[in-house]
Amino acid sequence: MNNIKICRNWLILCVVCLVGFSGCKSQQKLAEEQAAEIRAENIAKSKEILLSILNDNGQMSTAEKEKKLRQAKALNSDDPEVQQLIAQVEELLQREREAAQATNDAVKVDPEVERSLGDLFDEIASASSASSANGLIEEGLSMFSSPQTTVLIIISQSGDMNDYDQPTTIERYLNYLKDRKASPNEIYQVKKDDSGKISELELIKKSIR
Amino acid sequence: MRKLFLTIIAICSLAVVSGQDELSPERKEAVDSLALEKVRDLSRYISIIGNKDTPFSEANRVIDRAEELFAAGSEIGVSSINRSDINYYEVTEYFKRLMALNYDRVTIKWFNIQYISDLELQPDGRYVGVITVYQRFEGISADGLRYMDTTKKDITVYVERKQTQIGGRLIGFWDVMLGDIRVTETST
Amino acid sequence: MRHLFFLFSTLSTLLVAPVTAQVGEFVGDEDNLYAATKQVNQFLRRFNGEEDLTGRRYRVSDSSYREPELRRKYINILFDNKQKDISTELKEVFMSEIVDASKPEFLNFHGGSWFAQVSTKFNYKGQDETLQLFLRLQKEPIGSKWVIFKAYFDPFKSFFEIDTVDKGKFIHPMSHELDFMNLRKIFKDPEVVAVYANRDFQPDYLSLILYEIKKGNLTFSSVERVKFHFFQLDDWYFELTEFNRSGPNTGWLISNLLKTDSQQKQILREFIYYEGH
Repeated sequence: MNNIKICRNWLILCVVCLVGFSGCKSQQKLAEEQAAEIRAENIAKSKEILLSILNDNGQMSTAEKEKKLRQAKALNSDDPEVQQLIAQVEELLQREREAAQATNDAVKVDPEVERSLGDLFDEIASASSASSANGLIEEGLSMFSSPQTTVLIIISQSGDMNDYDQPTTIERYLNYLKDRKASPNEIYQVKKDDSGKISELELIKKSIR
Repeated sequence: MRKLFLTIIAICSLAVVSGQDELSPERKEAVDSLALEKVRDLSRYISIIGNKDTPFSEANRVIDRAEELFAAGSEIGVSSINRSDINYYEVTEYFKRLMALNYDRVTIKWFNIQYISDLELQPDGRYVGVITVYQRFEGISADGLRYMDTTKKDITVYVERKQTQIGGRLIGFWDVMLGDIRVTETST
Repeated sequence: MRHLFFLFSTLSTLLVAPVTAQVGEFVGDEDNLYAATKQVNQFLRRFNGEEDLTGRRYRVSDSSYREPELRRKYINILFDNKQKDISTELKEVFMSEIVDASKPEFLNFHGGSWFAQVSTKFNYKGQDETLQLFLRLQKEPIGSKWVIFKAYFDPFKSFFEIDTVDKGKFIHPMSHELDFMNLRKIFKDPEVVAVYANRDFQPDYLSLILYEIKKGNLTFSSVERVKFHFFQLDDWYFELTEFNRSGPNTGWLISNLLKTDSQQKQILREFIYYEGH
């Protein structure tokens, strides 16, 4: 009888120990699982942020992208894929900063060019007839590298980012002024070629100036 | 398994987010006025095409420019007060008819009012909106008969964010295209 | 416009301000056009108090955005004045529950529980016939789109009419023991087959219409009329119709207003869909 009792006590002890151990083990496992989950979430979040920068189709400014990159870095993920994305984003931002610098270095608008172009635009818009406007257009085109010279029109600016209308050519733009009988944009930036003719013209809406 | 699930969710939500990025109110307003500008271009082109004093070659050039404003396949649906039926025209046909109208004098004027709807995102990632404008048409025939109407024009506008490389620079621009137009004669 | 001025006297200065840049030659006399609710979009914004009198959108940070007094004034001009069934008392109750309540209600374009009823003209076997299409907005992974979710076509109705007087037509309850061999006799008379369907049977007009269009028997002619049914507000139903008439009370206006609980809403829905009768 006693033997049975001892046996039973041992059995209970074993069971308690087992339960205890497994309890400890499951707690540790739970913690590990939670850590893994947090890690996975951080990786996913980092990727989400980084991909949103890489896939941006011009909605985000460079400053916004830099801010997002800082957020992604703050998540401290050592995941190789995340690290690779960070490298890609840093490369992209470097390119954007260089391009912005190049824009700043572009020829600032010569006041004389600005005046004569502005006058040309106004004269075409207020021409008394289509034929007189056509004469002015022909004359005006001689200031440009070619009738196909690109014209960009800024429709809004926020921070360091410009939003543009669809790029057009100077020939089309001058005809547009003739048809619209209005000159809604002014000169923002001018680039010239080696022969001193305008090779790129950037305009900005008067309403946001 | 859970990890995989989380990753899938993250990727899916990313796809959705990248398509639905909300624009700031300032940028929305800039896009609105750009869309309105295209409608004004169209209004001006209609006035030129309809004007009997416009030389034939000029009218044809302007028709080309007007057509360029539209997305392929756009139609113009016209109805009058006395008829519930809608006549559907392709854009080119509509302009050609306008040019060939059998009046001695045509005056097209626009009311100084326009209504711009919200821009809604559609499944192909483009935004779509509707701009409403009002036009008064007056035609005087050779025998002095005068025809006059006022029409409401509800114009579909598609807006898409695009990018292009110009002189080594990446330019983000808004491509605005006009779509179908509903023309209703109004009782004013 | 005088009418609108009266209603909006406190805000009238806004109307005097120049609206936008000019489009070449203009016509004056725009007052009624300003007052007109020109788009469903404008109806929603006016209802919610989200735009100024010139139609310019308020920003969420603007003090007038969704301002109750502005909403009251707007909602007042959003009713079809010629619809005598919408009494002043009913409008007042509506206003007190939607605008003045501690938790005011707003309409949401993407909020569901509203749909379009489009009366169209189709050519069916050489005849012009009216066909009703019901459309609602469906959310997509990106953006949204209108989808047809129901339809009604009167010429199909007679196919499903059941002679309730003749009690002699049924599949008797022991038919299963004979492997339903009596189906042979039943389907000999196509005119009355609908009688053998279950009691709650509702024909799916949309499937039939799509089938007939695909078969080339139904061809689209034109859109005749569009209206909208709003079930989005708690305890209220209203119908939105476009009016094309002179004066300021024109455009998209509330043409029907009912105070309804959820059970009544269900009955109303079925009625609109031409179901159950």
